[in-house]
Amino acid sequence: MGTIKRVMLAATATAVLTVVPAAAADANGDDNSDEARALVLQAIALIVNQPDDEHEIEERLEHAHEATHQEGVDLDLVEEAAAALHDGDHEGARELLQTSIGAGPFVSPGVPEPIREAHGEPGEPAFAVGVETGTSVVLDEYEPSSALDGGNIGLLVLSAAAIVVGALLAWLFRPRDTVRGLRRTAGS
Amino acid sequence: MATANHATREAGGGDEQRRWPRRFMAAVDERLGIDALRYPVPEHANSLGWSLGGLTLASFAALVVTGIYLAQFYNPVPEAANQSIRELADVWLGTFARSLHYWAAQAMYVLVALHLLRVIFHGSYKRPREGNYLVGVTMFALVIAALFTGTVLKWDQEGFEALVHNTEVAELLGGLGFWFTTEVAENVSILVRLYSAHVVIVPGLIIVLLILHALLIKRHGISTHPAIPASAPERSEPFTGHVRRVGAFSLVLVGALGVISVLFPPVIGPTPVEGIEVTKPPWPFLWMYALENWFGLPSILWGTGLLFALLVLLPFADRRPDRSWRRRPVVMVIAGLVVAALIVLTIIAAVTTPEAHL
Repeated sequence: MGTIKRVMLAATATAVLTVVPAAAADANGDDNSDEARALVLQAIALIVNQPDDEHEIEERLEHAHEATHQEGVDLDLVEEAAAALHDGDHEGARELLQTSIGAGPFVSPGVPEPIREAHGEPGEPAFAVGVETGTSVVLDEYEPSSALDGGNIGLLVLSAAAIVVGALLAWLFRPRDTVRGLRRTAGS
Repeated sequence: MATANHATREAGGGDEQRRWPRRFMAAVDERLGIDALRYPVPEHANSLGWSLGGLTLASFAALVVTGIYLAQFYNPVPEAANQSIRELADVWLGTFARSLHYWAAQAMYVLVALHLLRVIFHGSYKRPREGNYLVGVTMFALVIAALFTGTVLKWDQEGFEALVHNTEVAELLGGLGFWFTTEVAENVSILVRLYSAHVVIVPGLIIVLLILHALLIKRHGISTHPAIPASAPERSEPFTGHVRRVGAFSLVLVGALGVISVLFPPVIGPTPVEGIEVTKPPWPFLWMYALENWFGLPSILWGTGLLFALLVLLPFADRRPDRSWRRRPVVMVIAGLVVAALIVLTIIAAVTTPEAHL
């Protein structure tokens, strides 16, 4: 292949990488679900992930009230949650919403049955399939402890020893000649 | 005289003792052919840059060991997956094993990418090593697949959103992306199928290709260093000596990963919910995310396809025997631009706020 062809290939590749035309993304992020339960679950997830985005959360709750399928959701509790959210009580709103769909430790008398029992229709699997999340309670982010207790100190000491021994062995087993040295020898 | 005889017997016994390990090794070698590993390699192969492949293998070994341990406690069903990872905190060395698995995966990705760049920089993909280079590129793709499936297995919001993007891209591919859609097995969670890919299919393929890679290295020999003149008196040494130095480097690598794993255990995000997009992908995929922000979902496909097309075409487009980087300006410029583009896109995506695409 000639130099001109290679240069053309380089230019084409760079152009395609940086300005490749593609279909525009649908970036509104709205989920027009007609299931109140799915919308309430989304609202809970937004409280956990983006608590400042109250507009999005309230929108989900409004859609839940207008949803075609409202079975399995206590809408009175959803309304209470909206009021709590309006007052800035995110934790209270989250608990009310979880209770409204019968999820987690917040189930109280009079609310719908737990999600996992309410899920599948007769003849359908009662567990998550395909890309279903299987989420019934939105858990907070979990950060494992990195506290320096006895076990972690032991692991740090072992790791540091591995670094020292490895570095020492790498030095002992180093090549006798360097690339620069070999070039110098060949030159002379 | 008796004393002299005794001394002779002692000395004979000593020789016998000294010979015993050698005889044992010879017996083992006769049956297992270990001596075949003592084929000669040039001494420059013992430098750090030429040991990156071996270090990638070391991080893969760490991933296999920690992965086997984690598999005893991970529950790959959507209802329990996220929780089962949280419960590792109650398992002996559970948090450390997951942390080491996570950081070894990051290390493997970085090391395999650096190894690939080293091969490109020194022209080690040239005849007769084109086939082995393509085996290496395939393994690079498999490492990315392992990173992706591992991200999904966490089954948090980040992993789930990565999965949904992948499903959408698979649908763009039509029949080629069939396996990644839910149509393959409608009554099975895709999480379970990705788990099988993560623990069996992907590492299994990596091991098969690794064996082929190693056999081809032995067949063709480690490539000469383009900066060392042919007239230079470079020594060679047995491949086992190279393994010894890589082993020393690996000890440093594992130690460093151990320190990082203790100090910076990875978080696990909230349990996932469908219908929202609030996260960004892990850093190795951020450059694709930047493309998606600008050009939409199909650009993930185009960008990745272009990158691998360039990698695959390289040995066929650059066929001249010159291996010095100075004599290959076109390849060097393209490689530099691609690396710069990937870094810039990654940085841009890292500093932007998450956007909804789907």
